[in-house]
Amino acid sequence: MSPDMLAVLEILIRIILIYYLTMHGIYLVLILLGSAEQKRYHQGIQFREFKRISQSPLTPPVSIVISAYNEEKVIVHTLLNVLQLRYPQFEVIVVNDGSIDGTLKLLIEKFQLEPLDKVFKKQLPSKPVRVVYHSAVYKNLIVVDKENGRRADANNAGVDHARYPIICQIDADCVLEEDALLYMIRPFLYNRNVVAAAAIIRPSNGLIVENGRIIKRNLPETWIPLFQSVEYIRSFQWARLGLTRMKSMLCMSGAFTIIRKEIFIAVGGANVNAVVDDFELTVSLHRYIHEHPEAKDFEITYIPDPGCYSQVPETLKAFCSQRNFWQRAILQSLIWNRDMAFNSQYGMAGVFGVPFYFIFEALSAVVEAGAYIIAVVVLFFRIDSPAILMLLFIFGVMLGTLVSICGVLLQATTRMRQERTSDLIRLLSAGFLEHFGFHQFHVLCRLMGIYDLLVRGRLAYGYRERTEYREPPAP
Amino acid sequence: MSVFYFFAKAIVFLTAILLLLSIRVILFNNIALRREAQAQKSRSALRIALEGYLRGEIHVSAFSTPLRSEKKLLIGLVAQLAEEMGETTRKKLLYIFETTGTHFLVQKELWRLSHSRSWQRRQRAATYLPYIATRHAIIPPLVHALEDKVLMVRFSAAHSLARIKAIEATVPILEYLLAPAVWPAERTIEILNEMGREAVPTLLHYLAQPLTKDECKMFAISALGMQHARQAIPLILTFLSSSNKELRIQSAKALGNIGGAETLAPLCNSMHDSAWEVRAASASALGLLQADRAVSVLAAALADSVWWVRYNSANSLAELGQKGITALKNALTHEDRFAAEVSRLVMQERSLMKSSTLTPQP
Repeated sequence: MSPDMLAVLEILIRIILIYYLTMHGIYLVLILLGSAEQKRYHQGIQFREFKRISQSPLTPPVSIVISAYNEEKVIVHTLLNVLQLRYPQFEVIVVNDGSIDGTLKLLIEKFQLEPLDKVFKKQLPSKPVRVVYHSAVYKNLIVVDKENGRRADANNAGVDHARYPIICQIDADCVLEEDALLYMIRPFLYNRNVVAAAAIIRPSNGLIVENGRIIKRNLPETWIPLFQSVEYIRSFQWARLGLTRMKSMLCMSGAFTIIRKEIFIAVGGANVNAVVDDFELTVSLHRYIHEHPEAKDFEITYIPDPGCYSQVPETLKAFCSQRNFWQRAILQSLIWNRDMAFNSQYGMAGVFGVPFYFIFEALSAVVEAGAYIIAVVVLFFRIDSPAILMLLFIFGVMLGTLVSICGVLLQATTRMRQERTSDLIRLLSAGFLEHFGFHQFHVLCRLMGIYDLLVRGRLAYGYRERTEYREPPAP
Repeated sequence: MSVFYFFAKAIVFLTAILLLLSIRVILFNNIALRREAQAQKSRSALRIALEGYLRGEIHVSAFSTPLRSEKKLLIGLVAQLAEEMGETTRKKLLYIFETTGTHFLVQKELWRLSHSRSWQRRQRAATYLPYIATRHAIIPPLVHALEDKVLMVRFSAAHSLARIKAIEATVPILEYLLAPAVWPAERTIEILNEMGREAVPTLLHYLAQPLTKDECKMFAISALGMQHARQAIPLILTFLSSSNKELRIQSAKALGNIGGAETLAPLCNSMHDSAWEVRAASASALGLLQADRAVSVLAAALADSVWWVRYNSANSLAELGQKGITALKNALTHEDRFAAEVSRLVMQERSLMKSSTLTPQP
């Protein structure tokens, strides 16, 4: 290899090492910030506080919107779960987004649905509604059957039919804790500037659910969901909480979000052209807050209580499809909102949030892939290979492992720690092993996502799997 | 590259420490789980002893030693029992702290409320004091805590004062919880409502003061409505014609909650208010009055220009028995399309009629 090439290679290696160091350093800081924030949150909860909220006639009523597309395997369980929530007043709006399986038929049968001539004010873009049903059994349940759009489209239709001032969006595969809505509404009760809140989400793959009630909260049994459990701890439990503290959290997961209806409508609802609506909605909220003087005090908050469990893919094919989709969503939204980057008009979201997500979330797959290619080149040309390979390994793999383990260990010091030591060992093992193969596969899926968006312009989700919840063993 | 080598060494060192820490956490987790189980056991034993004491089966001196050794659990457990078993139990449990040598716990919490630098500790003290100390000992420090710089401490103090029905704190609560701009009004109303009917005379007196702020009046009116305070009707009726829209809305809601024949005519008049929010609130209030005379007014409001007024009127008609339902049925053929639509919707929602829409085959 020529000296010039060697010089270029060395510069590239230095850039990659600095990148790794900065990225993992920021994550470590976010995890520590999140940990401090969580401690503060739990210390602030008062004795009998949730009981009081659940009994007060002045607790704001909530409209829960569930978008469902081909969800026949889980929708009944999800609805039974949601209808049993402990909350003074709420309605559930299921939007059947033109499912082609038995979702609607199942809903009609199980919940004794009858058509309703519902009049509503159409304020948000969505595909035409075919029929609105209400349940003869559950007076607070309505089902909106509409033509197929995407989740954003379905959410908009659901919000159009909502009658209450607070909207809670959940995915059709979610299982909620009985008090999940109480956790979520709490910040709205003490601060009228809170306009939206997101919460910790955990994999539901190990849950045992009976008639919509969570009986046991086990960890997933297989490795692929277990790796994702570690990732969820690192990301949902710590990093997003840290980012919220820095007013830079740009992704309220669509799996469980609560938002004031007026602000949802003010930002134009969920963007029906986005690959996925949640990231874009959060960025739009930040944009709205900073572009409207009357909204300058509005806050987006994050609840460090595990209120929601969502299914994570159990096969590599489904996992790859999901991560490809997420990568496209983030990248698309960041490209659309590139004017916010390094723009102080958008506060911390502009100065830190958007650049952080762009450099360390959207582009990390490219840099990491570059690191692996360089490692191969170094190995092939035998350029001082042991030292450079060791550096790449330490910065790329070992540092990532350190961050994951740190997240799991921090969790073990909170009230959310694992009930069984064997589960803690499994989580720690997953945190350690994640970076030896699985993470590299993840990088590949994300690279495919970038290609799919930028070259193929692909918007559709792709392959998806749903599994039924585990029932408790027969006595 | 020397900088990178330095960082690499640091990372390896940190990873090694973290691996050791992992082993420690795993071991600690086992110990912590055992301790938790032990604490649970102690808690159950203490609870059984306290329940025995409450039933009069055990004298308090019989378990004063375990009480002192489990003092960390005591406050929480006493609060939980008092919450589960009611006011009489709370008073009986207070006696424990005076007779078992655990009174220092009360003193400690009182000190924390006034002097702790951690707002969480002040908040905790404000929350638990009603369960462990007598009224006369805690009212002054709790009223003082209403001026705390942290909102959540003020909130906890106000709740505790309401919990022990400290009527003398009603006005300070109204005024100190009003101050923060971010504070939703509903929380103050909840606290006033928790005070119970004992607070009604104080609220009436406060409401009658000419210099009372409008926001405070709103809180008071809502709380009086939630307490169904009939003696407040004449005073609230005067606010139904206030120039402040929010006051008119709260008054209409409160009158609906209180009920009474004398509220019917003023609420019917409010159905012609220029603000739709007042009309909507009045429509809901009329539904609560159960007065047939409201049917014609509500039927006319089915053609209101605002959907919420139409919807609330239709719902109220459905609440008014056969005459109301007949009015809804008549409105199905109303010349105003919106009146017909909303009547149909409410009747279907209440299963009073089936939809004409055909069920498509899924």
